[in-house]
Amino acid sequence: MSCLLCFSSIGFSSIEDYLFSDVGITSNIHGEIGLIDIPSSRLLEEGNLKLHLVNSEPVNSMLIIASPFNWMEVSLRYADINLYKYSPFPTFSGNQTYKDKSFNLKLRLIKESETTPELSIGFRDFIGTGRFSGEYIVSSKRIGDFDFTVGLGWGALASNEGLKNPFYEFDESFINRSGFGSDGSVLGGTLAYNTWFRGKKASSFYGLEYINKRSGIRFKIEHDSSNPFGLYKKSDINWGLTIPASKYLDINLFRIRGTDLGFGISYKANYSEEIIPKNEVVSSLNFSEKDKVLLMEDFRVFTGTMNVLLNNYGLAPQEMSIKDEDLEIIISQSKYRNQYTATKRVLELIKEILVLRNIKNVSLVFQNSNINTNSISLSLPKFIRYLEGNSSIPELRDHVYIDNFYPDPDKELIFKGDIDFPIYSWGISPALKNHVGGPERFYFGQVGLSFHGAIDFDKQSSLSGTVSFNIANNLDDFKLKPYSLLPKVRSNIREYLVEGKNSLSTFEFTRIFKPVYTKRGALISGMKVGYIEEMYGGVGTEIAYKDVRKPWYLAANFYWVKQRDFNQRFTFRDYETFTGHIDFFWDTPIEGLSVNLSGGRYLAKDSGITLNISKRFKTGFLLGAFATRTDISFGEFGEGSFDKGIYFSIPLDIISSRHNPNNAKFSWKNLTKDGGQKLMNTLQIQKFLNDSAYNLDYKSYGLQR
Amino acid sequence: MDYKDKLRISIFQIFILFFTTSCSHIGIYEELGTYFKNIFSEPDDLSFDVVDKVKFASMQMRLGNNQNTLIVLEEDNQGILKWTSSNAIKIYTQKGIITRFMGLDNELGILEIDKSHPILNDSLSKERKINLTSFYTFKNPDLYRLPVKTEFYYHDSDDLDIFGETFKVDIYKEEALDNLIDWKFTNLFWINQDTKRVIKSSQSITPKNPKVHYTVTRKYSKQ
Repeated sequence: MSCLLCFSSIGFSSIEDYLFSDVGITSNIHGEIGLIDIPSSRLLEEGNLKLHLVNSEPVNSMLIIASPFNWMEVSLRYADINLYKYSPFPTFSGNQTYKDKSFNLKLRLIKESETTPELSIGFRDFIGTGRFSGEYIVSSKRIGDFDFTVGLGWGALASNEGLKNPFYEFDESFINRSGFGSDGSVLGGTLAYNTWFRGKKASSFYGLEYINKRSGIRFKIEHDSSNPFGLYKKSDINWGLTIPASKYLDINLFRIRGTDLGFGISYKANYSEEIIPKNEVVSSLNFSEKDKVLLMEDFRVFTGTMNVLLNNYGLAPQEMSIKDEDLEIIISQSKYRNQYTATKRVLELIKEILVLRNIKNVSLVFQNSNINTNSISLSLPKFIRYLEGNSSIPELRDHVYIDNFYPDPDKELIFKGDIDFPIYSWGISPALKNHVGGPERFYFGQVGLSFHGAIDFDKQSSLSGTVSFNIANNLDDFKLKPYSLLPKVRSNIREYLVEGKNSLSTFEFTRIFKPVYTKRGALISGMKVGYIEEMYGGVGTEIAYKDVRKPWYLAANFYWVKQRDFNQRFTFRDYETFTGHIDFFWDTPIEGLSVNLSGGRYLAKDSGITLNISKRFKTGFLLGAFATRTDISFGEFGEGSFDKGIYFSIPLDIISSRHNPNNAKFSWKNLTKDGGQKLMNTLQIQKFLNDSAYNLDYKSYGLQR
Repeated sequence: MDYKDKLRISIFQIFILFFTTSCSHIGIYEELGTYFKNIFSEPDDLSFDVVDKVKFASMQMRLGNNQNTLIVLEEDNQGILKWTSSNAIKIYTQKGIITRFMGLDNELGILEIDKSHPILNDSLSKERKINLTSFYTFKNPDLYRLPVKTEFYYHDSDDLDIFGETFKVDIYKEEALDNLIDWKFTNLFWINQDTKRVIKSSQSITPKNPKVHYTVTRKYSKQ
């Protein structure tokens, strides 16, 4: 063994890389990257999503933490606070303890360098009830295996024995920290900027982490004088350790306030990168001389061979047209997330055949339903050079063009796909319904089965429906009726859950109208009629316009709907309304960042605007947030003040070697209220075009797969 | 696939299942079903047709629980065989022991096998346990000549079926004992009793990659 150790000191400069599974930076009990109670300036790399569970009496939390950018961390907290009851009225909420939902935000201001520390600013509970509300400025510096943190906190991070608020010197009004919302209301849910960095006191906090490289364990110790809930405290020193169970999982143990032990567990992964790389093999073709002659001379053999080869990979040619040395293939596919990946696969599969026919330019038109969304045109010799490793992606880009589809009457149609309509399809899936945080009980839910069926009459028209059946539920324990100053367009959710255990969830007819193609873009439209969603039935139409060369596009929808009966069968309630929106979508110059501004009339007949911002990563992982303000007051809206929420969507093929464009979606809203509510399960006609939009941003990535 | 990969994917699936409750879509459940199937069962073997099309010496290979792929013999350099896959992975073997594995993020740069390795010098023994010290060089991150002590011993005998042909095999194990990075692994070698050649194997190549599993699907004529 002494000989082995001898080697270690001489040649093993990188042995630490193999010594332990580093979980990386870890979270504090509030979900922020930090130590135990205090935050550090560190942030997760962009594309990370983390689930963090903390048991730290009397506050237990479930947190979801996301990093849309390297300089931004947002977290959603659902806390169970055992110090208080859900309400003072046992008849209303029994013995249930208080539940609180809040958001945290941290922004990095200065990145760490060899000589300078990292600096970040953070806002704890900046949209919520304000129970945990606090702000901080924090700096961290790593030296060797130690990471030092020092910061200054306000609000919940300050203690009565802290410093005098330094901002008091600039403006005396900083001494007051009262009211939850920007309007001073107690409804919560607004940006409480009138309280930020205010209060009589501000407190310093500091700590350090030591990373043991052999075990991967992080030891943490910190000084934190804050005590927002006025708990019994023996010491301002908290300490603990984080144990890596794997690269993705860590376990946290800590002692806090000198009195209590706590426990946490985190799962995190970076969904901006594939966890398992794709492994799709394309074999090269070898044709006999006889085959070659047939492929060169007979259009049916030429197109038929390509049709078979492409269909084997989920690429379904709809039409093929030829003009001199130019070939156009209209293709329909639902396998590849990225059009460039699909383009590459098409060329890999049929390049030998195209060369035989002396094709020089290929134009692939992507078809979704009956809509030709856009074309990707390329020089075949240049693309083959790239496929053979003789040119790079940047060189290839100059020979690949994205454009709107526009039919060329001079091209000769040599192949037309024949689909045998009508097509019948059906499926079964688990139906899980959740209602969390009600006063009677924390969790209500139902497990059931949904049966889906559809008939496609042609490419444009379909009839589809979903029937849901109950297996088990605890929904009968719902006792309370909703209260709302507005028409109850969504807040009757409990009645729908209780009475709709076995229901006809949807039953609708959809038609996509013939698109209008111009060289400046495509104008598409469609309609829907039937039981559109669980709460509404009606009829509506939608329209969208997009020029694929532009970073923006427009859509509009208009529906008349009537509220369905709670049992979700065939009958309706009295409430009916017109609802509709005009949507502006913009793919910003920041890669993957999209903005959707939607203005119009909502279900409760209120009018206003919804802002939806999302960040999409090259794998298809999506993070987003939305907020709606309409012409109703915070008081009319009720608790939460206005509608808002977050969502994320995880690509299913991120852990598969096979391609799959589907995502698992999750969305969270603070409360189910009636203001600012849109009709769900609409046609969303823009999605037929949008499928092509984000793909265009990731040229090189799509080609690499 | 090692336990960490299984844990990682299981957690991912629970995570997904947890979050799909708000938006159930049949495609998701089908995909999840496939993932669960993959965890609890090995990937399917390649079909005989796929293997039979290639007239060169070939092996069916997979990394962890990924799908099997066919690798083809590209070069024989004084007994060190270079195999290549369609996705540009290059594998070097010496009498069935993987000595180099290129084309991954973290690569096995070179394995310097202990000269007294029974597979190398055709001295397999069912009775004897032998201690070996081999040197591993990894790339990205780089680690130069890590000495790894192993114990090599006979484990079992069995019949092995490859595309309908049954081979009588002895199974040998090579277990990691002592190294500076606490790397723990067990390599398995299925050795044809008649030819004394490895026809199937599971080997760890680096601590950061899942195990490599291969089965010889078309024998190299010179071995």
